[in-house]
Amino acid sequence: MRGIKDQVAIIGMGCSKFGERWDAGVDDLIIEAVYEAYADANIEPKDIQAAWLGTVFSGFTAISLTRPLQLSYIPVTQVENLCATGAEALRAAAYAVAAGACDMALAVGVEKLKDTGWTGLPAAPLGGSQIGSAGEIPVPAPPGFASLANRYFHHYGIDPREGKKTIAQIAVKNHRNGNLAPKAHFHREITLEEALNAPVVCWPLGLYDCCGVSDGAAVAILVPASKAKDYRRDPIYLKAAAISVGSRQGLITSDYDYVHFEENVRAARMAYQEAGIIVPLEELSIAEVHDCFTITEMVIYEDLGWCPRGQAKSYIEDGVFTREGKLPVNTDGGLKCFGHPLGASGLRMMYEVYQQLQGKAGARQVQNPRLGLTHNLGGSPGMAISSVQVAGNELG
Amino acid sequence: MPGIIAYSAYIPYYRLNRETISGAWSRGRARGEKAVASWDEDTLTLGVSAGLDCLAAAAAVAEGLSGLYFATTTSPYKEKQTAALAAGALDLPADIRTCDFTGSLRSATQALAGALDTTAAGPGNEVLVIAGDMRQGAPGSTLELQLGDAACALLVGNNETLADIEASSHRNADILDYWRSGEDRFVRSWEERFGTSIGYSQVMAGTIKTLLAKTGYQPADITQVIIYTPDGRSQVEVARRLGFDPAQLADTLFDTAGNTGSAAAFLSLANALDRARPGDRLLLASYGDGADAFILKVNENINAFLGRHRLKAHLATKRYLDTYEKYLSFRDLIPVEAPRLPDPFPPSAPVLWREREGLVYLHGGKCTRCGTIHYPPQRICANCQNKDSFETMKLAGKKGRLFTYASDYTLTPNPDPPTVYCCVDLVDGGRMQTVMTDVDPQKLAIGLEVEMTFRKIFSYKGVHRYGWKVRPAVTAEQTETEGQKQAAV
Repeated sequence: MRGIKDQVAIIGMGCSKFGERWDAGVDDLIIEAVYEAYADANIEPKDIQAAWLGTVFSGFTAISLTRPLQLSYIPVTQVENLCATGAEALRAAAYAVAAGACDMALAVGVEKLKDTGWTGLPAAPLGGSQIGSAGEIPVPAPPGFASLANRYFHHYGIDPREGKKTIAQIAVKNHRNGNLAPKAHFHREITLEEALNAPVVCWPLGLYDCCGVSDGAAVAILVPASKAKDYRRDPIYLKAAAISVGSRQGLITSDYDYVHFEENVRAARMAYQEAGIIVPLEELSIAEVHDCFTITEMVIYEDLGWCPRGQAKSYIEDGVFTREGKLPVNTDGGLKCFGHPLGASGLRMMYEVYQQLQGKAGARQVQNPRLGLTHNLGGSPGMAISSVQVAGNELG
Repeated sequence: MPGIIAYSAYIPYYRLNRETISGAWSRGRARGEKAVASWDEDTLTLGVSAGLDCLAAAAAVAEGLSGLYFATTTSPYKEKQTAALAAGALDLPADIRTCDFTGSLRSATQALAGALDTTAAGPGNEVLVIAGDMRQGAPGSTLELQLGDAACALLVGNNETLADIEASSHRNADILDYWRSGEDRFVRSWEERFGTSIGYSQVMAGTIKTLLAKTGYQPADITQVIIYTPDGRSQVEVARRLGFDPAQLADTLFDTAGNTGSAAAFLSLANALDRARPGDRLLLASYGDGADAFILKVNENINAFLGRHRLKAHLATKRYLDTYEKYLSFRDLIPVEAPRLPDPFPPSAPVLWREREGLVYLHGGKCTRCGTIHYPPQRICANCQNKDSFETMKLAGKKGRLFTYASDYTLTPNPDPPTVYCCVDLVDGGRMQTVMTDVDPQKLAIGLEVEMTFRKIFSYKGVHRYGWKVRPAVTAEQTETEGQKQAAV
């Protein structure tokens, strides 16, 4: 299997301001991000040969993309893969470019949640189609991930109050980073005490352990790696685009431990192999991961092989994943500060990796980055979709 | 001789102190407490809980069911049989007779009489009689104080009985004492003194007198007298009038569960049987548009009966509703803010039918190749990908342990939070993702023992979606600690 390493390059990206965008509809968010990407890539709309739209709630067919952008008569597809939807749009576009099916592809992720009036997201039915899952009681996301936290603390013998303090440190770190990201929804540093004393959403998850509900869009323009330098001197090369989809075994078979996501482990394994990464903690320069809840980020450290099982706590306490640490994680503040407009998140993460790898991340810039990783996780413990993508600023 | 092979009584977890009601209306003192069905229960689920207990207790002796009769005045549907719904939840064979007895507080004893006729028609016939009610008195009414929720089940047959039914008498009487028309949400009544003196006392006494005359028994021949009571006191007057010593009267459970309607006479009977000895003779009498009376003779099988102390456990396992408002919200009598989320998908008739094995019968599938147990049933094995080769596993009687859980106080509408989402590992294998109900938040912990309970998941435009949840196992141990807690209070 040859994979897509170094075959596809990103030559332009765009990202809307994330937040409660009362002023902007889905179309506005798409246009805002896409036209930034057109300008960044220095191309014209007519140069786009194919496009993928990733959205869960905010679109209905590919026309949701062609109409606002007035893209005419090119192949366009809407994709959905829960919280990995944005990553899925990028992956689909990258595969098309790698296959030689087109020489310039557009990947768009968008979600306009604040027009719905919803508090949080509707509970996901655990099996099958929404209508065909009468036997299941849908579980809202916070209890799903609180179940992970409760079991994690139990499994490793961590006192729940102590565990709550550990995950709160992730919230503090991400808010510290997000304060430096102009397009983030939330710009406010928080203290550990604030995080610990915040209202409980679903024990042990407090307000600051949960990501917000936001609107946003993010976009990438892809070309074959061989042509990337025709467009810019600093293209970013895709090294891997892996997705692992569980079959909800964890909800059925008792060997699932509720302290990890097998989907994360498998997606990371595929991506590392495709990218040729052997020791990720040493080789990766930055990572953007799916901190839908702080406990999720904690488990991701272990699932993606950055620290041994059960030891995320000491790595967090040692500051390994802060901006100054060995592997800065969520340098833009992550979902904690951008919220989680589902279709947009995966591409928003790549936007941060792209800027960091180009040295354009401003106050958030890490030193001499070479390889960056994005990670998305959809679903809930026992039944998940995990995406891991790797990009670098050099070929080879 | 036909009789009772097994019995059970289910008292829901919640109790309302009558003082909580009278206090809310600034009324005088009120005695005792009443059982209140949880917000996710209705007459069907109460009855299924009682039926499960009864069938579990009778497992060793029951031979084969030929019928399920469901008695209630509060059917979940006006047109749709409760007994057929219950037969599904109890995973009973499709070729048994199901029948609803309804419209009268006497429906339970009418169903019993019907069951006796059925068993008389065939020596091997057995009928499960379930009686359940959750009648609602209007807020502020006397009935609101009196009425409680419960269900009972009797397995009736000719063999392996623990109490034989020697004789019965029946009488019908049209008295406008209690009624509810199609438009009435709450039970209505005429002035109680009219109903009690002309209806209840006269009809009840007359029916019992006829039965005693027919059998030749004297009041002293009866060990325990079980007389349905509308109000917790009028039965004493009936007993006295017939020459019984009030000490012979069995506890009506009016002060612990309330007037539980169709279930009331059976509830008192179950309590009496829990205390009965071989050779005891019991009189059972119920009232409603007439009266039914029966003489039962307890035999030595009572001593070995497995379900003997289950009622005691249900009575001891309880949680008080601390406010009247919470009670009203349980019964959907005060409007509450709806969550700002899309409506649930309405129940789909074809889906409910297609998924009935997992959804209603609570069947799992055990892979014939690798032994992995799946719930809900799958077509492809999650472990070895074997296709369409599963052995049916009945999970309704299985206990399990909490593998992990989360307590949701804010996101899921629930009149008594938390909603506890949980992952349960069943003791004999298999895993369920479900919701816990009847929760005592103080007891929640990984490893907590739970049992299956059939509940209403939600209702949408008059269609009820039922399914299975788990509740903390009602065990002897729990009974003891609850009892101690009560004693300490």
